[in-house]
Amino acid sequence: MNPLNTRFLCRSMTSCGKHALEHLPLELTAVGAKKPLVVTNRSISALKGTTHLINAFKESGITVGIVDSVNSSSGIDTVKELALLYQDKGFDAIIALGGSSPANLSKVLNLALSQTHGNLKTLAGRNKINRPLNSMFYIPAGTGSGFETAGEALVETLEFSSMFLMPDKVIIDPRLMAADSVSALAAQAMASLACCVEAHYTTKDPLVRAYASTGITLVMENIKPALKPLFAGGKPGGFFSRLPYGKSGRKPGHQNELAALATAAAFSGYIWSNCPELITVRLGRTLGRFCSTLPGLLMGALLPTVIDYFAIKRSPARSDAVGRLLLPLAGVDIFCATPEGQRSDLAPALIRQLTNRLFLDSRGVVPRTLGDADISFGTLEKLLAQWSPKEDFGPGNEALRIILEHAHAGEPVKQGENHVFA
Amino acid sequence: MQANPSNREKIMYLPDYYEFCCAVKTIAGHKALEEIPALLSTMGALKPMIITDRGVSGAGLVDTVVGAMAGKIALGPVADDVPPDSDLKVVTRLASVFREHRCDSIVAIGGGSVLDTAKAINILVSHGSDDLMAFTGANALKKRLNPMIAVPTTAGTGSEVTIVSVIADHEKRRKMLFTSPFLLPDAAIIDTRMTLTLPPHITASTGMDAVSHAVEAYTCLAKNPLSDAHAFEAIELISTHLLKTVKNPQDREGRLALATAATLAGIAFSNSMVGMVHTLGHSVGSVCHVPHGTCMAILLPYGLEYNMHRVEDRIAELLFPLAGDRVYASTPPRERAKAVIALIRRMNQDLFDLTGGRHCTAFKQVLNGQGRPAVCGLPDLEAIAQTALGDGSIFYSPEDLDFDDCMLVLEAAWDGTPLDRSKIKKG
Repeated sequence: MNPLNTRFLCRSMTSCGKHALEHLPLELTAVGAKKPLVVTNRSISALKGTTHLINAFKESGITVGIVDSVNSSSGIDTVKELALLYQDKGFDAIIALGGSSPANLSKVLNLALSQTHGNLKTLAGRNKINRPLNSMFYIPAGTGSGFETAGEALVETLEFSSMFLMPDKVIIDPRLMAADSVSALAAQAMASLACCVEAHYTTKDPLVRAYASTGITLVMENIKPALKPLFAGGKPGGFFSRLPYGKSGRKPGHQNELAALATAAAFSGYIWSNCPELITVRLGRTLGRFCSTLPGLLMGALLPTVIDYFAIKRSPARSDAVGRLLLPLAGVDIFCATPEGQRSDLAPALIRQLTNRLFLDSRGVVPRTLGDADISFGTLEKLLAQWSPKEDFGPGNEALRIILEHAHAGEPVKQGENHVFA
Repeated sequence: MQANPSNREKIMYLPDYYEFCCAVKTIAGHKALEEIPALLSTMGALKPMIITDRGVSGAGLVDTVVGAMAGKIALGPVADDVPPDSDLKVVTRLASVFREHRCDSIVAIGGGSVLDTAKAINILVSHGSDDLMAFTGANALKKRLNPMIAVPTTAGTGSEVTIVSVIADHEKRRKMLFTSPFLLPDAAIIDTRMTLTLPPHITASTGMDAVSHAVEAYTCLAKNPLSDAHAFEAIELISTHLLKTVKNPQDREGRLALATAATLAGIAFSNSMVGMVHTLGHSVGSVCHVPHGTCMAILLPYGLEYNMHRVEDRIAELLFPLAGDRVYASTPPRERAKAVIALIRRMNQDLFDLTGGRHCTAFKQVLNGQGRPAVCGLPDLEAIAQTALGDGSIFYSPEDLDFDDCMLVLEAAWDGTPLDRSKIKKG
């Protein structure tokens, strides 16, 4: 595939693996920070997620402040309070620790502290931020949405979107990994998979493909072993006894596998920042507003059908692009061993096989189809009515209707069924 | 391969710890230069200084860049006297020019030396300093620098995506190394027009330079999954387009593919380091002044032969991006690593033939112009081996290297004969 007129930016440095946290003081020093403010939530600090972080600063000479009161309902008032605290106490960098809530709030807090022109309301929207912000670090802990590293933030109803919102450093340490529900972890992993897969087959940019292929393989190799201890607990959909980070009693490899999924999530955030048109992610997020199922799970249920839709015209280029997915999904040996004409069928089949298996192992918590997720046809109609008709799917969104109906039933979209495609 | 509880063999190599960063906006295309004014504008820059060398300006490439920017942004001075070996005095002088003209950003057009010089100038002007020495070493920079855009012209070095700058202090006969994430340019502009006029032998050697970056990134000790993925993409693009583009220099798609691949390979190696091919190549360059790309092309098959007993599986995997799925599938697994080495030798030989012998496959072929004796003579090899032992990349070679090992490889590479692998001290 030849690169043509491509553009890519990943502003974040990624550090992954054993003792990654211990690199944090050095990384802060490298950007001239001496007094960072950690923004997190109580569930992270209660489970000693912050303990490892504090220990990493021992003998570093760096003073750390911690605010652990952030949650999903924290809004602009919280941003303002934290901004005052940050300035009064002389903090000079922000570390978001946790999942979506700390990440969202920290990005907007950083914006409030960095941007001298305009207030937060005028900066909301797409690409209104025109210069680099102060240094911000993100450290995943627990599970997230899969898009914490993206150049976007949502606080209350204000949505911000800019590459400058991407964290400067993303530090992934297995000791901070924990998962307490199948649905949250599976949603994060399937969101990553959907984002990486769709980016991989729709882009010509080899830089995007490099991140996407790595993210795909990380999910494919780690999702089952990461979820397995949660399946064994007997309550796949519910919460398990919460244990301190790093001392879960699970087999030692488990946290490495969670860290691998967190890494894939970091990559999907980078990709989403560069490829904001990915249909699976947009559909999953929009549908998620109409139901209680996590958007990542909906993305997983939609993904194979969206691939079908892309490949249905069977142009050689599209078929090759989908077939090429087999490389990160199954590895170079299986890719090369599979005849070219079979690859574009096998790739989505592998994804279907994965979601079917997770459906079985999770006793239905991970949906194979939109029907499994209890999405009603009425909900699909709502989505169709809301989706702008000029986008993506041609006149009347007829193709979108076909995708949604097939994803609802779990039926592959095939040629020769009188389907209308844009 | 590791066993996996999910009954799926793990195919990805995951080190215990790794870091990956390339915070450079990369824009590639046939008209990518036209994006520069808008890019500078989004960074708040109003007046860029253009830094380049005489070769680049003489080839008319600066005119092309200026033409793409003209009328859209005020242009500062064009400094086209950067020497091939970046120099402290030049940095200090050009920093003064930047200040005199009240510039606020830099557009650097060229190869490694130009980009290194531009990075160093940016250190001085962003810190309001004349003392470059105060910023040497790792992470001595504590703040963002002025906006800088890199326009590479060689499709090989990858300097546009590295955090490093090397500046020589010729008076004190030393080289100063600067490393900091702040040295990454804000954007790399990969435009076909910048490499369209490269002569075939330079296209060949810079292409093989990029292959060596990618192959060493993939096979040496500091690899990680993202550097692997970038390396894979780079190798596939180069193997598909290098010979075709050397045959047909006006192949714009090929030019774009090669330039993009060089950037990918640069990203890969700057996040994973390189190994003995560079260890020896740097030293051949230092002692005998053989061009870097030529050194890489000659030494690459030897580096793989030398390390094959350590990383045969990794080398074998490269058969896919080098030769495609059919060759990979039809080659027995134990033969794949050898096939990779044979293919790289074949590429070198094809490039030798296509360039009328200007792309060398052995050091004895590197002539000092007009048929004069080899630039790199057999008596030089000991000095090269001695120099190699002090090169930082030596630590990333899968198999250890001592003086005798270096000589073993250098003698074979001088003559152009395959390495006698029975003589390698294993472990």
